[in-house]
Amino acid sequence: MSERIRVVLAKLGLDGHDVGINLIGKQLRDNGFEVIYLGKRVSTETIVNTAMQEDADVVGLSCLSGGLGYFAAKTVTQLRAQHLDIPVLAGGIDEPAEIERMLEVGVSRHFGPGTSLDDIVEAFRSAVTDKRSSSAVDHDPATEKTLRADHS
Amino acid sequence: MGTNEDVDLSYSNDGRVPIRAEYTTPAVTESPAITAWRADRIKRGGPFRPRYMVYAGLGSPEMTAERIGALQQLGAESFLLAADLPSQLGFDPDHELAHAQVGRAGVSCGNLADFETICSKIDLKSADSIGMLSNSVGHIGMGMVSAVLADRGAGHVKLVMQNDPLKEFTARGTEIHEPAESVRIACDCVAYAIDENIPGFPLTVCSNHYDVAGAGPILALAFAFANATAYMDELVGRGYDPAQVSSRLMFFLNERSDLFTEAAAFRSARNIWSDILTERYGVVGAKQPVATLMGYAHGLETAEEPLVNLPRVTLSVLASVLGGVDYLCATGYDEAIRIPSIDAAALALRTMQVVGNEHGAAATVDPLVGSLKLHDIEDYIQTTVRLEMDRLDKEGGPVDAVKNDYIKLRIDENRGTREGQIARGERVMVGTNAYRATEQRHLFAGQSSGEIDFARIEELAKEKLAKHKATRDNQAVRRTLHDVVGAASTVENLLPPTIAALRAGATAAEIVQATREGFQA
Repeated sequence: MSERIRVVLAKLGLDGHDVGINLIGKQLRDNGFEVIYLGKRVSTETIVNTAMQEDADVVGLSCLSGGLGYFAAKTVTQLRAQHLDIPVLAGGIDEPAEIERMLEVGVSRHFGPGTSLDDIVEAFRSAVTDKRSSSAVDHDPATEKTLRADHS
Repeated sequence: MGTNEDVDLSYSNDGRVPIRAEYTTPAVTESPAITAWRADRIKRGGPFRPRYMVYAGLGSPEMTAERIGALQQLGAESFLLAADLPSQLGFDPDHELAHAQVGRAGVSCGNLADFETICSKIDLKSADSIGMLSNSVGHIGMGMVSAVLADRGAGHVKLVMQNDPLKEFTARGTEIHEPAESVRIACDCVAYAIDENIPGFPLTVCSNHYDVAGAGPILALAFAFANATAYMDELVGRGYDPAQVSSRLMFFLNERSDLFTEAAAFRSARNIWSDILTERYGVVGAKQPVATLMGYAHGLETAEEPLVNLPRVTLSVLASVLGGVDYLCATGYDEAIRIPSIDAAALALRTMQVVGNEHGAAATVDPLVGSLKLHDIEDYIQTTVRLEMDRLDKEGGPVDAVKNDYIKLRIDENRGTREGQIARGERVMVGTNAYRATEQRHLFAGQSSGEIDFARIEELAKEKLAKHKATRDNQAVRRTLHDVVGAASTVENLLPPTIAALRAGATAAEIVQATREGFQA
């Protein structure tokens, strides 16, 4: 892919465990992604606004202390309400029912503990590639690029 | 008993073998810190066991009160309350970001009434000490504890506050204010305890969390002792006597993987801190207070075979006792799965009691003295810690090295050591990389169960908060919060206005907001 993929990463809720998300951010940067890390304790509104303003290609969310499913589902729902079809990937721990619900609402992928960094990078890449190839059916890529430039 | 010619002799074992309370040998010259510690403990008499501390807190204040009341009946002496993340960070339970965190990692404790409820089943007459984790909200946590102790006429009960904010920025993640502001809050607590003669430890300097975050136990000790100097420097700068400040600090140390290194870590800590007092603060010889050390027996637990964690925790308790720990808590066998069930918490307490009272582990002070093995390990620990402290100093010291990422980078560099050793088969974890028997795992399940309805806890906490806000005197709340803002904007101690605000019914969230406002004024 020639164009750099722009990722917005954030920790959800009040969880302070940021080792994993920092590692993922570093790995993504090393693989040519552009990463905007919003840090800890980020509201859904901030994530959605940043994704919009920064013209993000994909959003990655993390929470290990409860609330992953709830906050990730809320993020997807609010993105879609803004007509933003940005894929959302979520990593961390939650009750199985919460994870299932979040995936039903539209979160693209869930990563549990122990997932390899390479797999995660590949998932970010393919989430964007899949989306770009599906949207190419509807949009002229040139037009899309212009629109993207308008936003920045 | 035997002939009683020597009061320091005990025969309370099956063979009536004489056991001394202290052994010395001319071949071993101990450091002044070790000698002073031994003399102090001999004076107090045996068994030379730690205070049995429980680290507890879950769900609602009522549930936690039940839990710690039950543990006190079983013999718990010191109570360290675990608060949930919203309480540790100053968010009311109805805040958007608090969702799904209320009552989870600890008890929901958002105002003074909550803390009063939490303490309602503790018999303070027989309690040794009480405290809570309030690392970035030290003034609020200590305000709650001191208010309850004062109201219940329990002036003899000692503080055991964690209140160590510097480690949060790199190892634990509940930082709120800037590092220098955080140091100020923590030191206001120490100053207040000294000024008001509240006994015990308003600040516990922690190496534990650096170790757990990935630094490993030795680098963790260096970072913790460096943080201790940051707090000491601030208080000495305010005019407090360094020996007096030192006597108000507790050190929370641990090593989680080797019986002898764990024991050596406690003995080494006494020497390292003694040298710091001498070299940095000019407190020498008999003027040095004997350091108070805390431990937490935990660290090798696995989720797959929970009951197998019991012998692991037992060995860690033994290591701490042999090393001379003063306050000890032990983790539940099910901690890798959930906040410990009552049976797991009770067994952890019983584990400490068995080691502390049976089998002679605590019959002698400093029983490993003279061990060549220990001597060698201690030499390594002490040399490495001093080198690491010098290096940290060159990198800006404990406060600046938070900001320039040195500490973070060093933790990152060491992270994964244990995982690598286990993966490569360099060390054995029973049931994980050796003796695996997946189909027999049910034998080690225990009775642990997740009985808490967290969604309900959150609803109740929100309802209670709404009622609380509707019934308090809002004018008094505003007035007292205004005083918190005022104190934070100057060098006035934050404790008096914080306690007044808590008594008026202000929530921790409101006090954090007022503190921030004052800092930014």
